[in-house]
Amino acid sequence: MASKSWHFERRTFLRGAGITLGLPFLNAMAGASESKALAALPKRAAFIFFPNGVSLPTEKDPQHEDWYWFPKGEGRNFEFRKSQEALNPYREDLSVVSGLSHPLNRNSGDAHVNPTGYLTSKEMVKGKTALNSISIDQAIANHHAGKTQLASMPLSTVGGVGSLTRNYTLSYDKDGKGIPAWSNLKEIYERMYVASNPAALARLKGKTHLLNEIHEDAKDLTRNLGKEDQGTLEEYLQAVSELEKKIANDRLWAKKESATAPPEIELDIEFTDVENYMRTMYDLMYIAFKSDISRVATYQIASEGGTAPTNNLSKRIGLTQDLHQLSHSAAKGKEGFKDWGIWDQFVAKQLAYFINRLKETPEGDGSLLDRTLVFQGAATSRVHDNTNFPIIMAGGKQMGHKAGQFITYDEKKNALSNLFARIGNAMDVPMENFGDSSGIPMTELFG
Amino acid sequence: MKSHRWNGWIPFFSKPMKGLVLLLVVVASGQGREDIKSDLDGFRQNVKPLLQKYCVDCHGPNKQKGDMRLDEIDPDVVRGTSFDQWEDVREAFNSGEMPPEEKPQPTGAERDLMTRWMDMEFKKVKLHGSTKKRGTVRRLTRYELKYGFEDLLGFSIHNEVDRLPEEGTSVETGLKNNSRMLLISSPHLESYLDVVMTIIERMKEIAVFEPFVNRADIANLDVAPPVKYTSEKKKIPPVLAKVSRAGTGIVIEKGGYLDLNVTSISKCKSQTSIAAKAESVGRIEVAMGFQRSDVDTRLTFCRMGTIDIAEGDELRDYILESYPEGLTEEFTKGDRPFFLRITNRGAENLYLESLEYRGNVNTELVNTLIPHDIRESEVDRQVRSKIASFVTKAFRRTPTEAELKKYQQVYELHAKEESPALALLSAYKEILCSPKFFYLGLSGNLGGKEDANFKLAERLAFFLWCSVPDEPLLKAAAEGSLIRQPELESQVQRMLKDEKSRRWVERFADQWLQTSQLGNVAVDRNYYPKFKDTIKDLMHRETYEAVNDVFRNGSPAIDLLKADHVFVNQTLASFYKLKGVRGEEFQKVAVDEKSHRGGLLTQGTFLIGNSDGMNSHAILRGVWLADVILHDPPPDPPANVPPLDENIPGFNKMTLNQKLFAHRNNEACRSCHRKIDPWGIPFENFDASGLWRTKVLVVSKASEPPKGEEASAPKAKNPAFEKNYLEIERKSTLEDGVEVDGIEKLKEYLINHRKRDFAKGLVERILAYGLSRDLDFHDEELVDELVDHFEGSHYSVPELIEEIVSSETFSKRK
Repeated sequence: MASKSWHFERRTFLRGAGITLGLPFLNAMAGASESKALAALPKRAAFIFFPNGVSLPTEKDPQHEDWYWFPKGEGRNFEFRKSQEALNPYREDLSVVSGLSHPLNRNSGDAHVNPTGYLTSKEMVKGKTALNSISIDQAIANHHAGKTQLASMPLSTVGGVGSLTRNYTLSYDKDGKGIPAWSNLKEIYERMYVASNPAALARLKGKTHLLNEIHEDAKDLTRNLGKEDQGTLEEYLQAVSELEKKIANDRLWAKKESATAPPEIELDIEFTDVENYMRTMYDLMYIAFKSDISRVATYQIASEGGTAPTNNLSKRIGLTQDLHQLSHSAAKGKEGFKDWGIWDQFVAKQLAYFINRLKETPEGDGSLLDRTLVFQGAATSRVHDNTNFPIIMAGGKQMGHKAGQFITYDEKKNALSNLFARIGNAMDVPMENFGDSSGIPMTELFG
Repeated sequence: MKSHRWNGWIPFFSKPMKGLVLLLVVVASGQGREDIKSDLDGFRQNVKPLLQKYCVDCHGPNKQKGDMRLDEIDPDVVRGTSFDQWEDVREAFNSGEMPPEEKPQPTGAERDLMTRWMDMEFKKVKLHGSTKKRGTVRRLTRYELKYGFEDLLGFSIHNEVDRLPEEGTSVETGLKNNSRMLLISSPHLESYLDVVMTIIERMKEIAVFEPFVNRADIANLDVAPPVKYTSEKKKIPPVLAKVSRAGTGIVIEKGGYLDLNVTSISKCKSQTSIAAKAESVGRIEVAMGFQRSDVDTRLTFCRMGTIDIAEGDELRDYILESYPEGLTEEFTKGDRPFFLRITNRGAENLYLESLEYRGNVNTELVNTLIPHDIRESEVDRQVRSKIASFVTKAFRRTPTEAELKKYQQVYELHAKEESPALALLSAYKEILCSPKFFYLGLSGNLGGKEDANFKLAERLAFFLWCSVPDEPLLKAAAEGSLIRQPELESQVQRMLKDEKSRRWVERFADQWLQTSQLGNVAVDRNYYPKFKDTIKDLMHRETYEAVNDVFRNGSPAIDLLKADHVFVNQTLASFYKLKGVRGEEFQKVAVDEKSHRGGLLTQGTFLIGNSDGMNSHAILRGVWLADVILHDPPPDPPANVPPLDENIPGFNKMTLNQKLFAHRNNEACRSCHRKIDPWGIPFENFDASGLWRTKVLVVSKASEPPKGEEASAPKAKNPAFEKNYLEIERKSTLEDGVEVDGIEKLKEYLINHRKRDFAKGLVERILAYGLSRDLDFHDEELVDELVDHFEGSHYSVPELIEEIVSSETFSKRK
């Protein structure tokens, strides 16, 4: 029997009722002038991914009108079609972006390599590329390291790292190694509330001790090694010292954490309970942002390819085809694009839920959404087409995001990484470029 | 040295990841090696004009087919930057693949000129060689950690290691123990510490449980107990049924059962032991049960397993081991009056003489730590020897004094607060977290000869057992005899006989044959209403048994291509429609041609795994055959493959293969598919559930969907379907012009013409696994020798392994 180190009551959490938690930073700012207090409020960013692109029937297709993912119109005069109509209440808080993608990956061959480069823009060639490069969320997290208990929250439905062609994480560290994503809701929660969990605290202490011992042992090893082996050990030693820093930070925060009780929330949910699982993931991100437990999160809703464990999510919400089939055979059946659109609609509904939670939570002079940038997209437009990613960016009005528009970029002149660099800037990271970007200021979206 | 995946693509004739070779070549610079230089004049005069004439049209400034450009290729093969490309050019040119048939061909003299120049250059590369020491250090894989923990701790590991990231696979070999793919990062290391801590915590929990025994008093069992009532209507179910006395024992009829009261639910391993006999093969089902209450007399059961009873007059003892993880939550929630029920599920009467249930069976665990019956004064000595032997096994060498002292101190520190057994576990935890356990190929501070022996022991154990060496291996290493024959040979033979080598058979078979596809394909119920997913596990087992027979029993490896036998149990046999197989154990069963079975090709694992769940998929099957079996992977599909064109008349009613072939008629696709489809078409008699068929079933949606359907409502789960049966098309023409009609002819062709390709592929992958690295140019000679020997030994894998481990490359790890 797996040991249950601690328990909390499994009462159902009333969604939308809010959580009675004081915001740590508001206390800290008592007595400051209003403008100072506002300027000191944290900024957050969430990066969300769904696989296989979206329903994009051609104009001739009768399903185009309703189920084409991108909105009608342009600029400030756009109108969502059926699949995105759940986002209507927030249209002034978000922008829809078309025409951006990662140019280096257009020739990667296997389309299922693309999600690996989704937040990095690195050219991923199957069979040639062994390592990725840093992802935008980690570039931001590293810059703000130490400011929150969790530097970032890498979330995904499958969890772990996966492989280059079937990634189960969106986050890659500075060397391009995958950061194992968290998928188990209870585990995510335990990470967020270490201080209230004596067993987790004891573990932190135990790890500190073990790391000391490892350090001692490693000294003996570097003798008589060839160059390549030395490299292998250096990699290990680097992991050791990074982990030491991380654990030290965890312990520091465990001491700092306020005495407020962790929120009660139903966590006994498997990913096969699709809607509840997704909403709980969003709840956890929401709580982490609101309580300043973390300022950066990634969330991979499902992994690409017909063999991923998440491939049948669409079947679980009542469609007859799995995700891979939906995208590959949309053009075959009479209503293939509509079926796909129903999945798109489902994804949009969950995003709307997240946006709504952020928007209905007051903070400073507005809402939590104003200082939270939510980026959602896919790494293909449709099936294996590596251009024109379907992108929605919500929130962040106080971070310079000029929301309320539908902007189409010229695919030949722009790269998605330019937008990432601007998001980095909005998160106060001084960077002109990120990945393969070319320093385009994108003043129409940010400023 | 081939790429093996087809779900992506790499340029036309590229063999990826040869940066490694390049690196070795560039770095090298031993004495006298400076004199070895490429023949650049020869290139300018002879080779370059030929490249211009025959190649540059497609591989030059205008077009770079397959990402290959030859007008700019670096002619310095020895030290230049284009070694990888030269390797590709050489292979494509020598095999006649390039220039393509339809293009102008070089004359014999021209061909000769080109071949000779390239051969010379490659010889130079070999001579020039490399003085750089290749890396030998790598971390353990996830599955090696699991087995290592089990062997060291004597404790079964469940899913604790699953939280570690999965290892990457080598693109060249598909293997997971490749030293270059085994990276580590800080979150990974943290997960590892968590894994070790969790396992040790669980062991500590279990170590403190009190074992208990419940025994049925069979000799005095009342076989006709009076019926009890709690009220007028509510009858308490009887503790036995269809049971009669027979001497000191009892006879349980078919369907009869006997209950035994159990003190409490076991918190760790439990054992159900019986002494029984049966006139014909019998079976007992063991279940845990409880009655809701005296008022509510309904019974709830949870099945724990079955015991197969052998046929015979002799009374035999049987033990079923089970774990609380197998029980439903109701059973673990609280204490109730539980009982164990054994039911006769066989066809005949069964004679039983004893029944016993042991709960909290941690004696083994506790004994591994500190024997129960030990005197207090003996504890210290015991602990010392336990720590010494644990460190020796975990670090795969004689520990240093300092190391022993260190872990002894850990023990002493913990022994102040914990019992000796628990304190010992605390010391084990630290040993397992050490990089000296986590990394292979490290040297202790031992002398050269001793070091070589221990390293060989380590390499052998992780090769054939996927785990740490055992005492006899370490002893031979300590004595310095392991590295010499005949000790090495006899150790290898012993290791292959040991059940632990089954781990290697299974892990290697999975990686080599890509069996994971089986789990990834969902067999469609609209097509195969009778298919049960549990059949897949049996098919997987069938594959393991077939490989095991070759790898450990020494049956010729050619059996994997074509065989007059299969490995099945009764359930799988009846699924395959093979008659006369009895019992649930897997057995080697002779079959004839009419069965259409025998060898890997006709195993459900691959027939299902290489289909789309609805219909056969000639392309996937063809790619699998070419890549895995013939070791000749076809080029990967290009980017932006056009979707299947649904405008072809009758598209909806076509078989999947007809649709795919319609797509193949596209000029751009044909050149590749020519190398793939002919391999897959002869499999057409097998449907997507792995069964033989004479017609192809196509299920298509029945015409129009009902009108006025709510746009947003998900579709009804079962729309109307139309079923059509089409003719099988199974004749194909292979690239060399041979016509093959059906699976039997295909197997015959493989046996007659492609044995060496198969053998070479297998040899290369086993060698790469043993060395934990991709092979390269420098291994070619060894591979050729091994393949020759393999052929000479009638394809005996045990002999091949002896050859591999005796080679300098393996034993000195070059």
